[in-house]
Amino acid sequence: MSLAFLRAYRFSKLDTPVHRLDPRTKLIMTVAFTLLGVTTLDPLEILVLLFVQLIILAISRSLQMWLRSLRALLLFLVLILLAQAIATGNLLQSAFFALRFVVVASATSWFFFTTSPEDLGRALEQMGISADVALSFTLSMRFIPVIAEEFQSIFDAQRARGLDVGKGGLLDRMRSLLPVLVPLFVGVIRRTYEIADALELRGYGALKSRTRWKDPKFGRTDVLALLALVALSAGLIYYRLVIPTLDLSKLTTLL
Amino acid sequence: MDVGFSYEPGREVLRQVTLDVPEGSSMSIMGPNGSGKTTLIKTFNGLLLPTKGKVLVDGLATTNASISQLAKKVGIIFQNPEKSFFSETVRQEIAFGPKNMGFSEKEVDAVVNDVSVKFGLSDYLSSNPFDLSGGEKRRLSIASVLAWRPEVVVMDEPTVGLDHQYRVFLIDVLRGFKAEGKSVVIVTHDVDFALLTSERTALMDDGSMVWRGSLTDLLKSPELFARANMLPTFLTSLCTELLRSGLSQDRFAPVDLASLLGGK
Repeated sequence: MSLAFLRAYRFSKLDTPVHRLDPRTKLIMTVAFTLLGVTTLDPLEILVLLFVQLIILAISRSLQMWLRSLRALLLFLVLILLAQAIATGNLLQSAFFALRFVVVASATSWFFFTTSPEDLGRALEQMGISADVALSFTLSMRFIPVIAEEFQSIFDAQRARGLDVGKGGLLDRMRSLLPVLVPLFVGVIRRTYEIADALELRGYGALKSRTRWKDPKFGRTDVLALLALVALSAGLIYYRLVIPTLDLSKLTTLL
Repeated sequence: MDVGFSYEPGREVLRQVTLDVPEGSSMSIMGPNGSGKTTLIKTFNGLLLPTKGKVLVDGLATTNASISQLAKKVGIIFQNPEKSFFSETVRQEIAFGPKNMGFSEKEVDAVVNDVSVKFGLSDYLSSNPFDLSGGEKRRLSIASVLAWRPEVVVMDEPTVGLDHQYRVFLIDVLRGFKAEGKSVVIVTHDVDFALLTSERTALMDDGSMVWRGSLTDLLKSPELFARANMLPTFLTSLCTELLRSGLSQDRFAPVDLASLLGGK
């Protein structure tokens, strides 16, 4: 078991057009792609969305990282595929569900890969979210890879003591993860207290209104990106309303 | 032999590392942060499988055995081992490893009692591990690995953040292993600790093993300290000067040096 796929969700400081976009633009795009992805029942829509994600991933130079993370998620994808195949009895339909997961995972992947937690925090504050909530959100984001590393080291330490998580049924496997999850949560709670103390010691909350070193600015590229998003969403919604959904069960029968 | 390892294709973390740890020997692995020391010891019990070469434990290739099979032979105590505690009692924490290794209930009870006495934990068997003091937690973490009596004991930075009393205790424990004929591998930045506990040393830099040999040879070459990013201490400087003066010595504990200098 490895949490290597989380590497694709870690911010990487690069100078690409996607990195330079305002975090609010990227947030809107990610939410839009996720919503379009989870609400569609049409495989063609999913393919279009996937194609757009691939373009964004390529522009943000995160395509390779994304492919590596997909490789780490392969088992999960196979599980989705199998579960859907058993439930629907239709392999094409199952592949569609797995692809839908890939679209959503990709949209969040390039977002976290190209947006620094600080920029996101500032953007959230600009959107009227309280500084405390924005800070909690950015801290959680920042600590995802740290917790993933901690999980890995505790997992290694327990395996070195003979822990075997690959044995038994699903319930047994989940139970066998307790020796990893308990110390992980204890560590996370301890760290939370330490961070709260460190913030207070450095004067966090001393001033009612906080000043900001740098504010994200909406530029021409942001307008262009949002216009492209609106055009794509409108096109997909029009297609969804006017053209009937491609029925995969019928397609399988035809095949 | 010539072990290589990479987490990602094209980015080798270990390159052509060759190392042997004979039965009953003690070795320290030193080197700057990020040189691959911890990655290397993770290959000893199959937590990481080499992408090149082979790691053999008692003749068995790590690629042909399960982690628990290898862990039975190689007990690794990672840095900050108390971070992995999860049981409600000290007894359960010590018993976790032996149970996984297939010990019977009777055997588990016997080893728990044995190591708890050895590590001064017998009064705390019903206590919660998280309620122990820092030193007691460290003792428990070692006890919980040694409980199943591995043949090779590997410790990753065992002296970081520890007081003098625990350090002395640890040196005694390691000497005890040696006396029992177990092999000991210590990853450390602490040169004095290595001097007191190891016969041989390996230096790693940027994923490669750049030097290995006896501690005597290491002490004769202070430039190697600089290469491994280690600061010579008073003890190492004294040993270096004594060796340069032509004295022949392969034991570097202060008591050995005192007798060498004419004390009784």
